[in-house]
Amino acid sequence: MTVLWLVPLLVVGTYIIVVLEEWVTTGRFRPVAPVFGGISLLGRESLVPRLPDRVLFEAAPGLLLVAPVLALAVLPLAPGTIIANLATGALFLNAALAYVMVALFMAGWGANSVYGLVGGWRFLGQFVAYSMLIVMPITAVAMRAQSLATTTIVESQTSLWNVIAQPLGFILFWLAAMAVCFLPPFDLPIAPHELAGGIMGEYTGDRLAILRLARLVLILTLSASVTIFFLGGWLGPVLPPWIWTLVKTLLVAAAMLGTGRFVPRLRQEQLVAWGWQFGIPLALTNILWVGVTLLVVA
Amino acid sequence: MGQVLTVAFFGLVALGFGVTVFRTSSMVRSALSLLGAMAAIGVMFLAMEAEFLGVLQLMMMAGEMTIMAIFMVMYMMDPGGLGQMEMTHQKRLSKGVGLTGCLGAVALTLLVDWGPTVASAPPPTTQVHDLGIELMSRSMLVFETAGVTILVAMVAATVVAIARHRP
Amino acid sequence: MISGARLGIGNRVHRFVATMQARELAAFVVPGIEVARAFGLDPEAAGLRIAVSPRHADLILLVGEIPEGLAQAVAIVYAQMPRPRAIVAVGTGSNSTLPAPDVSIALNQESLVAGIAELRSLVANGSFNPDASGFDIAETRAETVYVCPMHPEIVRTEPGLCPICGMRLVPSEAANGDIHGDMSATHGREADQEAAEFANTAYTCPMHPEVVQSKPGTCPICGMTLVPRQSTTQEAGRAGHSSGPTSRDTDDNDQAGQSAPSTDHHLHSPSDRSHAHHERHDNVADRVPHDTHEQLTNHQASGDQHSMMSPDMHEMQRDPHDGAEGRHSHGGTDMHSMATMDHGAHTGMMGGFMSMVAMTKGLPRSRDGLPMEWVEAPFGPLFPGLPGGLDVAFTLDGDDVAQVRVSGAMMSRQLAQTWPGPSTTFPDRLARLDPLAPVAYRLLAFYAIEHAAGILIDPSLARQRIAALEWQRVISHLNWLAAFGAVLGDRWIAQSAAALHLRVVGSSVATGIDKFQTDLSGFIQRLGKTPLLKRRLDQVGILAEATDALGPVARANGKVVDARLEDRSYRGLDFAPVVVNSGDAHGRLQVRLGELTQSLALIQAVDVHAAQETPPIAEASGAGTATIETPRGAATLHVTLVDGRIQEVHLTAPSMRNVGFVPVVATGQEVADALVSIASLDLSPWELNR
Repeated sequence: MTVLWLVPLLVVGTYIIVVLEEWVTTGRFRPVAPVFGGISLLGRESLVPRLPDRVLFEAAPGLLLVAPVLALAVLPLAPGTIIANLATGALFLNAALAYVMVALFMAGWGANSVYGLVGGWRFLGQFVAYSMLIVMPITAVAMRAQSLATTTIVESQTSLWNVIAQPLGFILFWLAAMAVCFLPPFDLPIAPHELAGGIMGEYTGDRLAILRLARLVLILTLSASVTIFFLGGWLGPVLPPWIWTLVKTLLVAAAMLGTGRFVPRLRQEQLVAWGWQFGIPLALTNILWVGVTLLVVA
Repeated sequence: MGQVLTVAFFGLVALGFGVTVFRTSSMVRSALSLLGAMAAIGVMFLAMEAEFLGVLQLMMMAGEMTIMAIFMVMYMMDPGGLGQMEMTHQKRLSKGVGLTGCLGAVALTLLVDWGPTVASAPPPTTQVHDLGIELMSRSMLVFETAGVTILVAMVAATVVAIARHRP
Repeated sequence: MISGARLGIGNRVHRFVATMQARELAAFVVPGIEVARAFGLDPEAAGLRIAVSPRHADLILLVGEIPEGLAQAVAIVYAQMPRPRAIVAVGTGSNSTLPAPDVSIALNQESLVAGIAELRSLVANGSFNPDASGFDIAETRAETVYVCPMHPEIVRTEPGLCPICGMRLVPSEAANGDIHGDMSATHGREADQEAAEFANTAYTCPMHPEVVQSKPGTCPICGMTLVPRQSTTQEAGRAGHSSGPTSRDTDDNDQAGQSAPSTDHHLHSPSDRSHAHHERHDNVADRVPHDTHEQLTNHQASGDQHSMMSPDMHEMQRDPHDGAEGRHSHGGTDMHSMATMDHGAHTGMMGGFMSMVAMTKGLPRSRDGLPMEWVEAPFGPLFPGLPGGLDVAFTLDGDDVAQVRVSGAMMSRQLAQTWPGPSTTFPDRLARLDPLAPVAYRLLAFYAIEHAAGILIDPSLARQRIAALEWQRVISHLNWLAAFGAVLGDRWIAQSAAALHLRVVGSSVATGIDKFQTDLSGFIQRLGKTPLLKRRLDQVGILAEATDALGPVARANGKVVDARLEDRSYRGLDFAPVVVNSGDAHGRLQVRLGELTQSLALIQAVDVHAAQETPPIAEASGAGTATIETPRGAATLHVTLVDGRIQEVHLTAPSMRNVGFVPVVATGQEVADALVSIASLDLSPWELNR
C-alpha cells in the first residue's frame, strides 16, 4: 500500500520546510522548532469568534489540508510509487488546488471579521490572476509528454528537462505556484502588517495548528509539482529515484521561501493586471513555442 | 463492488448537499452546498472511470461556485442568512419539474440497456487520447466557436460593466 | 501561576506542554514595535517572535509609558489573546486595566533578556493552573439582542417576530447594553403603539401583498409560506415589497434615466412624488420619526457585515459630528443627501429583496467601480501596520477605503502640566513628549530657553548640536524605514533597517561613524535596486497639494520648506534640503533616504570630536521662541521664563499638521495602499496629544 509512505514523507517534508522557513525569515536555525511550536500551539485555547459561520469556520482548515494531500496523491515519488496514477493526473492536481481557494474563502467568511473577509476577497482576485498561469504551462508540458499522466510526464523528460525545454513555462508556473501557496510577495490574504494576519488572524489553538500544517503541505505539494513537471522528477544519475524527488522538492521549496523576502508585496490590481495582460499572452507564446519545437524536432 | 459503493455513497452525499442548498437561508452556505453537490458528482464520475469529465467537474465547479458565493455577498442583502428569510419561490412548479426530471432520469437508467455502451467504453488513458483527437478533428469547429464566443462575452461584459459605472 | 493561565490540573502532560510553550514565545508589542526599537530593545534577540495579531501572541509586551487613553485598547488586546498568556512590563508602571504584570523589568536590552528568561520559567510552571480565571472587561461582555433586519429600531431581548413586518428577529451584538436602553425607550414604544393600533392579524405573502388570508398557508401565486402581518402596514409596506422582485429589472432601466417604481425613491430624494407608492411611504415616515434613527448605535462589531446596511449609514451620519482631531473626508459626498437617502432607504425597506446595487445606489463609487456595502473597520490604535497609538477607522467599501477617521485622542498624557517648572530640567521633561525623537525636543528646549534668556552659544557647541540633531534624524528615519518595510511586505528592508537602527540607537555620534556610513550607503543602494519597489509606491498616497505640510511630506511635494534654512549654524555647511517633486509615497521615501545620506555627510562636515557640554542656564527672565527641524518636520517652541522658571509653554509639533493629511491620502485607495500611504507620512502619535 503506497499510502503508507505518504504520511511519514509528509511529516518529514513539512518538518524540513518549517525549519527552512524559520531559518530564512529570522536567520535562526532551530531543528526542534516544529516540535516545540506544534505542541505549544496545541496546548493553547482554541477560540471561536462571535457570530461566526460555524460550519465554514470549522471546515476551512480541514479543507485546506485535504486539498493539497489529494493533489499529492497523483504525484509520483519514484517510477511505480504513486498513490493514484490517474490518466488525467496533471489536471487532477489543478482541480485539487482549486479547493485551496474555496478553503480560504470559507476561512475569511466564517470568522466574521473584516480583516479575514478582505483577505478572502483578495485571494479571490489572486485566484483569478494565477488560475490560467497554473494550467497553461501544464498544457505545454502535457503536449511534450503526449499524456496527462504524471509518470509519463516525468518519463518524457529523460532526454531534456522541461526547465530547459520550456523555460518560459517554468518561470510562469513557478510564479503561479508561489501565488497558490500565498508566499511572499503574493501573501495578500495573510498580509501580516496590512490585515493583522488576514485569513489566519482569527484562528487560534488547534485550528491554527491545522491551518499552518495545511499551508506547509501546500508548499510541499506545489514544490513537488514544480519538480515533477519541470525538473525531471525522479531523474538523476547516482542516487535512488525517490531521493532525487525529495531533494529537488526541498530545494524548490527553499528557493520559494527564500526569494520572496526581497520584493515588496504586490498590489492587488497589479497582480491581476499583470497576470492577465502579461501572463496569459506569455503562456500562450509558451504553448506555441512548445508546439513548434515538437513539430520541428519530432 | 468498491466502485458501486463509492458511486452510491457519493450519490447520497450529492443529494444531501442538494437538499441543503434550499434548506439553508445563508447565501454563502447555499452556494457552497451546491459546490459540495457538484464535487460529489465529480467524484462519481471519477469512480465511473470517466476521468476527464470528473476532473473537469471538480476543477470548474470549485472556482465557479465560490465566485457565485462572492457575487451573492456582493449583490444580496442578507448573505449570512441571519434574517432567515424564506428565499424560495414557485414551489409548485419546482416540485413538478423536479419530479418529472427525476422520473425521466430513473426511466433512462432502468429502461436503457447500458451493456454494450459500457463494454465499448475505453480505459481512461485511451479516453484522454481519443478526446484530444476528437477535439482537434471532428469537433474542432464547435469548440473553437464556443471558445471564441465565450471570450467575446467576457470582454463585452467587462466593457459594459466599466462603461456603466464611469461617474 | 501567570496572569493569564489556562484552566487545567497541572499534571505531567500539562507540564510538558507548558515547557514547550515556554520555549516558543510570541510577543505582541504595545504600543508598537517602533517604540520598542526607539528604546533600544530588540525582542527578537531576546528570543521572542513578534506576533502581528493578539490571537497569535503568547505575551503582551508593554514598553515605556502607556498613555491612560490607550489602557482600554490594551485591555481589549489582552482579552483577545488565547490563554495561556502573560504580561511583561518593560519600563512602565502598572496598567490600570490589566492584571499585574508577570515580569516587570527596566527599559534596556539586558533587562529584557533576563526578564524573558525569568518569564520562561514562569510559563513552564504556571501555564496551567486549576485556579485560573478569565479576564472580564466591559467590552468583551456583549448582550445578544434581537433586531429586525428591516426595522433596526425594533429591538428585543428574546427571539421572536417583528411586529411591523413579521420577519424573524435576527441576533445581534450590542456592547454594554446601551443600545438596549435607548431602543426600548423610544423605538420600542413606537412599534408597540403601532402594534396596538392594528387588531387583526392577517396572513399574507411577502411577495404578493394582495394575497390576504386569516389563517396560515401558502401563497397561491408563488407558493411562499404566508407570514403574519398587520393588515394596514401591509399596504404601506407594499412599496418596499414590490421593490424586491422588480429591483433587478429596474436596474437595467436605470441607465436610461427612467425612475424605477420603488427602488429609486428609497435612496434618492423623497421629494420625487411621481408614484402612488409614495403616499404610503410618507405615512410610514410619519410614524417612525427620522431623528430617532440617530440614536442607533453601531451594532456592528468589527466585522458583522452580514446584517443591515442602515447602521453603516448611521455611522456615516455621525461622523461629521465627531469633533476632535482629524478631518473627515467626504469624498465628494454631500452629507445632507446621505441623510435623506438614509431616511428614504430606511423607511422604505419593509420586506422583500433589496439588492446591493439598489442599496448602494447613491453612494459615491470607489476607485475600482465596484459597489459594495460600507463597513466600518477599526485600524488602530494598536494595529501592527500603523504607528502605535494612532487611532484610525476606515469605512471600507469592499476593500477600498471610502472614509477615514483619525484621531490621536488616546495619547493624552497630561504632559503639558509637567512643563512649567525649573528651566534646568525642562529639556528632559520636554524630551518625554516623543520617544521616537527625544533628542530633537531636548535641543528645541535648549534653543528656546537660550533665546528667552538672551544667551548666545559658542559656535562649536552649535556645531555639536547640529551633529546631535542630524544623528537623531538618522536614527528616526531608520526606525521609520524598518516599519515602512514591514507594511510593504518586504522583509529584507524591514530587517536590514532594523539592524542598522539597532547599531546606532544607543550610541552617541562620535563612535564608529565611518563603518556605519559605508554600511548605510550600501543598504540604500541595494534598496534603490529593489525590483518593483517603485511600482509599488508610485502614485500611491498622492497629496495633490500639501499646503501646511511640514518636513519630508512637504519636501516630497516640491516645497522647499525646512527650518534648517533659517538656522545660521547651517550656513557654513553648504546645506540644501532634499526636495523631490512627486507627491506620492515614493517621493517621501526618496526624500528620507536622501536625508539619511545628507545627515551623515553633515555630521562628517561638522567633525564633532568632543562630547556636548551644556552651558549653565542662568536665572533669567524673558520670552523666547525656537524652531528646529525634527525628523518629521519643523517644531516650534515658545517659552516664557520668569526668574529661571518656565511659566508658559506653547509647542507646535509637525505631526499635528501632517495628521490632517491622513484622510486625504488614504481615501479612495485600496486598504493596502491606504496603510502604505499613512505609513509614508511618518506620523508620531505621541506628538498629537499631550
